Amino acid sequence: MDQAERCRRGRIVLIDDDAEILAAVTSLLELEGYLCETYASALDYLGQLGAPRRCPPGPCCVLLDVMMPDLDGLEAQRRLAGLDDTPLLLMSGASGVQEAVTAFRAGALDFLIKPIEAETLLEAVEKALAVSRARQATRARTQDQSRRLAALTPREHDVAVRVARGKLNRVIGEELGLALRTVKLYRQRCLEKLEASSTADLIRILQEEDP
Amino acid sequence: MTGQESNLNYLSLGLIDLLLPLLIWVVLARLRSPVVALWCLGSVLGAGSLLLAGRGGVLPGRIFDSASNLMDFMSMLCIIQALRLDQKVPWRFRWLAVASLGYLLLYEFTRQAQGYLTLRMALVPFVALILLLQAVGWAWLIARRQRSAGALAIAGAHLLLAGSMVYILAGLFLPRSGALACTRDGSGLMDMVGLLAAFASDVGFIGIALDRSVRGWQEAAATQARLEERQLLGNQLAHLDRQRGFGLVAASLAHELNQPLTAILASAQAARRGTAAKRLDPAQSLDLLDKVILNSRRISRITERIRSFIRPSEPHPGPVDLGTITREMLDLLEPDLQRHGIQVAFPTGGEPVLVQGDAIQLSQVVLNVLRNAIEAVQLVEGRSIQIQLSRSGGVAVLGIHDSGPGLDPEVVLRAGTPYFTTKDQGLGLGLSISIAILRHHQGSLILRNAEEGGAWVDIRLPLLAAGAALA
Repeated sequence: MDQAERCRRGRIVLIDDDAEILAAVTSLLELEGYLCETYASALDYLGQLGAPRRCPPGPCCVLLDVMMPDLDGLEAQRRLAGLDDTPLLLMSGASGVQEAVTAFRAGALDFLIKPIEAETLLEAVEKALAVSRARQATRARTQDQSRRLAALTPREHDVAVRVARGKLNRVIGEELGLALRTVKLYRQRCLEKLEASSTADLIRILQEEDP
Repeated sequence: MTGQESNLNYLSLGLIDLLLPLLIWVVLARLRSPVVALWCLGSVLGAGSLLLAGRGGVLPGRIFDSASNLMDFMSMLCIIQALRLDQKVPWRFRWLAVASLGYLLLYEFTRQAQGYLTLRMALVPFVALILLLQAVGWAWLIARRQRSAGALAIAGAHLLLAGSMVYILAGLFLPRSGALACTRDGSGLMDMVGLLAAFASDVGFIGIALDRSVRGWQEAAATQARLEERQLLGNQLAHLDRQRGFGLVAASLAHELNQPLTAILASAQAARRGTAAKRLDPAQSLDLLDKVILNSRRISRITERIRSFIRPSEPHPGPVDLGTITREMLDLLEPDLQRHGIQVAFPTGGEPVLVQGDAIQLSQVVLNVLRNAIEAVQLVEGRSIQIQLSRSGGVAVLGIHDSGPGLDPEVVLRAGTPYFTTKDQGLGLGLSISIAILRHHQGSLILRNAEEGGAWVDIRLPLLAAGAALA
């Protein structure tokens, strides 16, 4: 299975201070066709986040050990959550009720107890990747819309905002000091630039942009 | 009554009297002491005196009379000396010799000198009376002090004999009172009294000796039992403390065990899934199996470490390298040290620093001190523990210096008292057990605050001489 195919299936970031665990879990996940990246500490992972990615885009999740020496898993979770929306799975030894509660409150997708059953792990990973896919799709759409909105001239934007508020062309013309014909022209251009099929579609796009 | 018959009586009485000390000597074979020897010597001398008296008609009376009297006198001295020695206040033996000689001279003088008939007749019973009263006094003292019926019998017997001497003296000085001016003729009341007294006091003496030995055994047994109990309690406490110590590191160990277990489970399940789906080549299978083996060995090393620490074994003294046990305990605490971000500096290398002792008990001391240090440094930022192992004179010093807040003066003063603790959890037995263990090894534990801050604990133990270790 080649790298690109693995990337499409899902990239899993493993963070654990135990090299044996990294190797074993990697074997398991790679057999299932995922791509694994391993880090001995959360700091290592955080350190390389800015670097350019070799892998083509695809779903991604982070599997993080809670008990680690230099940066505690829960603290790492807080820092990661501030950086991006990659779904987080936490794993820990048995004694972590309090840890689990904290982790879930901070938005962890699942909390796995070591030693982890393969089924449990794969299920959790698949769920996390599904979440990741959904988030990436949403993000792609919003990014696309933002790009389209940015193509509007300031005047066109003013008109579009007012259309979205449900104002009549006449009122918009009066507010902006434009002729009715000009308002209609801008309105038509807005629909074209935002690739909106109808006025209702335009309203939806603007509401998503600035709820 | 003829002289022959009288002599025969003397002989038989003398033989009976001779048998008694021999009997004592045999019966008390395992309890022989100077006291027993003196007593038996006294009894033998008494019997000898009787035997000699019995030869009176056969051999020239003069020498035998003197010898008989002297032996009688010495017999009494021996008896008294035995009683006094028993009470640890013996006369000097040289004075006994002088007294015997003096008595002999006095007796000879009264025999040579004419006109002292009454004095001569009175001398022997009078001296005997004084000696008998001495014996009664000491026997009575022993009877009172030790509540011994045997000593009471001795006192009674000698009192009886003293009574008979009074009777003789009365016969001498008060002829009209009806008392007989009797001498020892081997047939009369006197001799029966003598025999009875000898018998009673010898049996009494055996009673004292047996009584005392039984009491001695009982006391020895009780002491031994107390000692064993204390030893057992100490071992149990030490074991309890070890278990508690183990309980404190158990949480970290659980994590430590979980890591290889996680690796094993993941590898095995990867192998299983891969094989089931025919997606594994042989090299990959072998790799996964190797991971299972490797991590299983990791687990067995961890459990071995724990087991050797909690095993409640009898102390096994031998040469112990303080460096080795310190490293072992640091290994045991490694998860804790990592979790709390504690830097440990322990310059190692160089020769082993050997002391004589039980490795597990000494490990326990090191663990207790390290655990205290770990707890102390958690209260501050910049957590570090410096460990130094050095030799100073004939002493090995393991210094453990933490960067914690240091000790209160009150703590320095009271640390080591059982049940004194500044921690919320804990019995407060850790340090006192450590101190007890070190004392048992002729070592000590010194607590102080370092000048640069933090607590400094020195574990001091006598160095095992290099030659002794090699030998």
